[in-house]
Amino acid sequence: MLPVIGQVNNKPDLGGPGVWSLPNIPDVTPAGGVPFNSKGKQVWEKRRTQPASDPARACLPPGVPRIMYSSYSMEILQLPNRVVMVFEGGTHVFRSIPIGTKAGLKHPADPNPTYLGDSYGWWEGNSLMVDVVGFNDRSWLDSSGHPHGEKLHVVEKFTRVDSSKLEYTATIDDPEYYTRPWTVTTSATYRPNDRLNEYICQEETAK
Amino acid sequence: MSSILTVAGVFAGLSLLSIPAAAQRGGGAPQPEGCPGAPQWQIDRNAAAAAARGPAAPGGGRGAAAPEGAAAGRGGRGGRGGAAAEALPPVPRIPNEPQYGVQAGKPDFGGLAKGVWNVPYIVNLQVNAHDEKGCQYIIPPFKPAAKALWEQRELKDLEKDDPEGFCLPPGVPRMFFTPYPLQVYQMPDRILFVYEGGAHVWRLVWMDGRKLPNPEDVNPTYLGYSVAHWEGDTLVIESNGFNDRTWLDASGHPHGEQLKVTERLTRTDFNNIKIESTIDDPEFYTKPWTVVTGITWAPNRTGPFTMRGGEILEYICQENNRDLIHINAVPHTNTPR
Repeated sequence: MLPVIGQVNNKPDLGGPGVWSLPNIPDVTPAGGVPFNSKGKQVWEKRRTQPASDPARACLPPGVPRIMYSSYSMEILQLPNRVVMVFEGGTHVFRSIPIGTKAGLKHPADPNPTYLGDSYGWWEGNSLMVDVVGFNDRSWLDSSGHPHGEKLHVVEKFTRVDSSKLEYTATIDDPEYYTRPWTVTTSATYRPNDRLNEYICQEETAK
Repeated sequence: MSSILTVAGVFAGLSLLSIPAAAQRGGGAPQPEGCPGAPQWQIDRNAAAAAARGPAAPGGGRGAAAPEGAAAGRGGRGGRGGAAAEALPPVPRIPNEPQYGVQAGKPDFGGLAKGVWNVPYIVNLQVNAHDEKGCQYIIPPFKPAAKALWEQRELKDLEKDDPEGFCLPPGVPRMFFTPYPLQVYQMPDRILFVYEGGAHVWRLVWMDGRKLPNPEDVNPTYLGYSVAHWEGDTLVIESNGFNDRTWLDASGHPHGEQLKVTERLTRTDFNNIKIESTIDDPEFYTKPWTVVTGITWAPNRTGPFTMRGGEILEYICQENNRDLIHINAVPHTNTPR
């Protein structure tokens, strides 16, 4: 039984008058390790020695799923036909996710590669599922440098298990760098009656 | 898709080069009594341009009623006016049901439809906007220091130090002048604006009845603190709490931390939202002044600028930003105040 946490359009309310604190995970290696292929291993070993090359340090968007563990806060807003996630960090960016049914899952045939990809979401029970493709290859999966390319396919699952906790998993599938899909698991903590601040990363780099 | 982005970039570039041609102003409307004439700097510029073209060129100086053939809606990149004459659908409304909160029964700003609002490229409010009476030129009520600062930024430095060029958020009301598309999401107790440009940012406007904060109590920000309410079918947004690091337009009309902005948004027909922005900053201006602009609806349809599936694109300004080096701009924190 889930505790009552409010509903929007008959779905669990992932928002409300508050914000979600996101964790900071510099290295998302899961307990079982990362199923690198040889190219993936090579790229990661090199990047680990070059933390200053992290694109996020140039105030570029962290990408998906990294934006969910980039340490800044997030607010979720639900409309009947979309879920909007707005972020304090990652250069004050947003994700606007159209919501349909799983059967209706569709992406553009040849999407323009972007940092945040092309997202499509649906509800599965009390969980919000989001399928994301169409990435560029310019973000790292974490600050340790786990790589991805344009073939990256991410499936996210958001579950509000109680009023203060949002569980999150992201399955990462990118045959260019990994031998099989692997999963990142984390969670966010609710801060009621708080609001997001304005953090403009490029203000510092513009000096 | 990348070629489309390139085309869009070229258009934006051309707009920049054609400063201050008032190509985005809707032509034809008769001027009300008592409107100011063209500002002297514009007359001088047009004369200089005419002289540079040589004697064969048609007469320099912009006539008072020179129609520029701008399409209705003075909109966006490349003026996609669309087929006129067709009868428009009525302005859609949010259902008048309690779950829609303050939006119930009010005009729908398109958040549930497939489409985006095209935003015009307003370079200089003096010549690219109207005032509240409909005058086509605006003489801002500058204080002397503000006038000198604007002249420095526009006439001497030719806009090279524009903070938006450093990929900083354009601020308020400039988010409506950028020229990048936006969407508006109406929720029961707030409204969210999301923008393609201005570094892919968002702006939250509270509609839960709270008042504007004392500006002394909030951290000064680029986008400020915004609250809104409905007056009939007009959405009235009030904002304060700004930092002093943005310009009001690309030409450099200044503001400081005392800035208060009131934006009145009215969906005048299916295709247009009229935006009346009142700028109140006693540090730089002797009285509040109002600029009238608009945004135009671009539904999901095929065409050179609308192959976006009804969604806004991802434009990340700070990616590989090289323009500043070429125009010898100085870091924004050193711009004169």
